Amino acid sequence: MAEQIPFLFDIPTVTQLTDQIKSLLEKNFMDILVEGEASNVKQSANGHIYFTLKDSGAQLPCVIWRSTAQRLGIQLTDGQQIVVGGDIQVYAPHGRYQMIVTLVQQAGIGKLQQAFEELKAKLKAEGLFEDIHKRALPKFPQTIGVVTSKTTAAFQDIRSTLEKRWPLAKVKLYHASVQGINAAPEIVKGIEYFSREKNVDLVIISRGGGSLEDLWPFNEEAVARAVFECELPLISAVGHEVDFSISDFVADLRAATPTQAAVLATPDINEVRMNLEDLYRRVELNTKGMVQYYKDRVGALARSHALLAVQQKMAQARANIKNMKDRISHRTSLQINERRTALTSLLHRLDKQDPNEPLEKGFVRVWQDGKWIRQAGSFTEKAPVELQWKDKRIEI
Amino acid sequence: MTENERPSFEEALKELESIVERLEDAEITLEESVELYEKGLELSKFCNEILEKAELRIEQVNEAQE
Repeated sequence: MAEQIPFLFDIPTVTQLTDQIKSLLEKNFMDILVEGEASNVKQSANGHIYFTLKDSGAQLPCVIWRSTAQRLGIQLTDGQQIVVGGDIQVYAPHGRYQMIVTLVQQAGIGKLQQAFEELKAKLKAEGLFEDIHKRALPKFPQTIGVVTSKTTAAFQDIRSTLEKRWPLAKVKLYHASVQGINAAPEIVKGIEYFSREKNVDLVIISRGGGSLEDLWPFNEEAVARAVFECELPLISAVGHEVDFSISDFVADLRAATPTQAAVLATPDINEVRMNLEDLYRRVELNTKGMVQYYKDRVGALARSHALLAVQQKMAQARANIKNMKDRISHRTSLQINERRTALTSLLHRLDKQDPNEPLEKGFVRVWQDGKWIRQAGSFTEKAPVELQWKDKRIEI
Repeated sequence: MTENERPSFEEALKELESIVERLEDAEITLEESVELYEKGLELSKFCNEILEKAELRIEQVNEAQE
């Protein structure tokens, strides 16, 4: 210290000084509004919400008491551009000042436009918009998760489009506000729910047209991060054709409108019907074609020369066999006849050889000693003789 | 995901497509062709039934927060 502090009787204590600051600040900054970005949002065990409102040059600690948070239904996430209303309070024991927040609103349009460009540049630099992160959509989704407000036209558009185009689908709706300060945290919860449960084939986040302020939740960093982290294919459909939101850039696919989201998410049932008909026709055509082909081939073979030649050979062979059979039977019967004739003549000749025949004509046979005496040399004189006639034998 | 045993529409359609491809392959026998025809007929009926019976179902998965 170069100079000695002048001696004074009324030097305040820290408490006195802080009390002066407190009354000065609290009187002058009562019921004020301030705009900035919410960061470091935390909820204490008692349910109070602590956060820091910041911009590029300064930070302001803020608290929303639990009762206020509940009454206003306030939910906050990091990165939200907001206007808060309330009173500056100095907390003497810590020598700190902070804002007791009684009102939270979305930031004004100027601030939002600036924040939009900044966040877009930041996320783009981080690579969140890159094509390599884009997931392919399922061709025939069975279940579709939709994060939107059930009371909006956007949901009705999605619903009626799905009814027409792809009624096979089952829709799981995660109802979330799509406008106002609570919207971003609710949309994030919806995306996280589907990503965690994996009970759908793809997710659509959507809302209808509106002002930049209305569409703002879809430009919040928290929503962009949730879309990026989502483990299912996700379509972002926010506002009208001309509106682009940060979620559109991060999503796997951007749809210009809620209706278009439903169109992009699903095949057209009429096209599928026609495709199915075509497939069936091809099944039928090919099978019938093949059967016909084989029929024709069998027919052609039946009429082929080779087969005809075989048939002719077989006919020839059959004729030969018949011929030979005929000849065999002819010869056999011929031989039988010959033998029969021979036999007859033999019998006839046998008839003629009958030794009794001469007796019939009156000749006499001479017997001696039981023997037929056929010549004079065999005759024994003076021995008894037996004469045989046709009708009688007499011994002399 | 209630009909676990039955193929999904997509699976059935894919199988039908592969049947058509195989039918259009010249290397196939008549017996195979007839077998594929029967399977193709069955699948196309199955797909058709799903398409014609379809009715959009909607279910809300979280509590309404108004």
